[in-house]
Amino acid sequence: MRRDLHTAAANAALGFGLGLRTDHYEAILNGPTADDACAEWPIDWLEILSENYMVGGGKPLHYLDRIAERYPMVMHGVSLSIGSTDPLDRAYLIQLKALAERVQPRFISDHFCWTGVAGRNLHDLLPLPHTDEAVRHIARRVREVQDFLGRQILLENISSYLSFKHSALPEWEFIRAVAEEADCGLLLDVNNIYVNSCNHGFDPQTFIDAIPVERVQQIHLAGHSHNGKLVIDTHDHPVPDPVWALYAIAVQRFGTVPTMIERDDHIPLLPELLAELAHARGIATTIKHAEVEASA
Amino acid sequence: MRAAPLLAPLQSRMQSFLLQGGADLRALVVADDIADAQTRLGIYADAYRLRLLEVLRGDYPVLFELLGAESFEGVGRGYIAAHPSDTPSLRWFGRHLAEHLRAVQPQRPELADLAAFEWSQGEVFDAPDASVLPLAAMTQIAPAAWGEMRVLLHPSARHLQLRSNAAALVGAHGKSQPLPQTQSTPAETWLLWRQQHMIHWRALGVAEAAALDAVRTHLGFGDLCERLCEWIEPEEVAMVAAGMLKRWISDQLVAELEFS
Repeated sequence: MRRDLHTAAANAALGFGLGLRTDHYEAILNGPTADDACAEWPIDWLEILSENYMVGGGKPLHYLDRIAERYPMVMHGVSLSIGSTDPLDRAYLIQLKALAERVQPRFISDHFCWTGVAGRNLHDLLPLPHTDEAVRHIARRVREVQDFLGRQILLENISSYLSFKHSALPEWEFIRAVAEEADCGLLLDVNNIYVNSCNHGFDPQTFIDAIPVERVQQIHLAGHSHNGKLVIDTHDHPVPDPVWALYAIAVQRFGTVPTMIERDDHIPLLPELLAELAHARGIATTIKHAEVEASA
Repeated sequence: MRAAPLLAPLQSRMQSFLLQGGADLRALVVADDIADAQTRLGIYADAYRLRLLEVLRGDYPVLFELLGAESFEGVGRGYIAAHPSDTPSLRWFGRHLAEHLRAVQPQRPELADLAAFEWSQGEVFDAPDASVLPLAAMTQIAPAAWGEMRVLLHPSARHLQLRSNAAALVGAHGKSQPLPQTQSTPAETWLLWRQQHMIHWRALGVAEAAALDAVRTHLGFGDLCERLCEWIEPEEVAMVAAGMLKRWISDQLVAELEFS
């Protein structure tokens, strides 16, 4: 059974969004609503970091509720630890479900990673060996999470700085195998594909071409830094040209999937992010028009 | 035939490497022209500590200013080694810092005081919401109901005992003023709470501290008054206690009056 594919079709028209950051709360609330998105204010939706709102109350939930009244929301988590060999954290899942009931998000996502074992959380998106064992392990847990939440989740490809010798599959085949076996959606982080292509020496187009089109429901765009020959996924810079170029390739393959700019550090004033978002929209629109003309 | 399970031992070894630095994972990691295994592993080891240090700096900005970057990093690295995170959210990672400082810097109790104060501020900031009683609610208390009445505080209310001028340091930091010298003070109970979204705090006299202690332990108002007799003349206790309640309600500290 492929859950939520009808919803996915509806969500495909969601448009272009931003990661919601506290620095921008007031600007978002004082700006137009999603219904009034325009060239100067191209925000159609907002993504929250789920864990930031797993609190009792106060300002975080106050702003969340007010902003969710104005914009479609998406929830993005970092602590599901879907690849961990610890049991799933039931208390975390209960909090995640409660937050989803409050926010009514279009998507709930996390990452192809593990974050700790033996009750510890290392608060990093740690890489997995790309093995059949890991595929089966993660797929089983994704199904368990989806059953608990009563909906499909999306998993995001991570950036990584090492790979394990035991890996029997390339990353893109690993992702495809989990998504098919678990029947989950994918959040494609184009920057992470670029980062990994540099760090592990593969052609990023090979990655994109191997990802099943119908599984990709959301796209992340971000910037990165360089550390010697390695590229670090720091989310503290504007989206650079190679990532924009890869985004264009992704749009050609996946269509106009809901896309957002993700900035977690050195957070600029909102207009800078709005300009990046407008650029993403421009790339998608240009490709769409070209396809229409080619088919006419 | 399926390969032997790899995932669990691999994760256990990588976690040991990140937490203690002991396990040698180089044989498991691909090395190539782009980077060797040690460099690749080092990215994760560095990122782990830097991320947690950044979280501590965010949770304890006044302690950071007081200690300076280098000393704060030393404290932070000790804390990270002693208290690895066990919660899904980084929000709670730094919750043991005051206790940690009491253990490792007993000669500087003002550091633990400051950490306790800053952590309490954070707890007040995102504690659960609740409606608060209007002052008019006091006029609706039937005379016979006062004795058994219990006061339920707003969920954001916190108290802590300080033996230093931590609150003055936090106040100065909030106004972007230079921090005053840390000073020892006689033990004093401090109350912190949230009004709307603003965090408030004030020192309590011994009688009010005892009264609030009675409230926290769900004593009735009559028992609370009995406790106050240790500091206040019996004939004045009812008036003083009612005055305290009035102030708590005015300060938006009272969520409910419970009559059983």
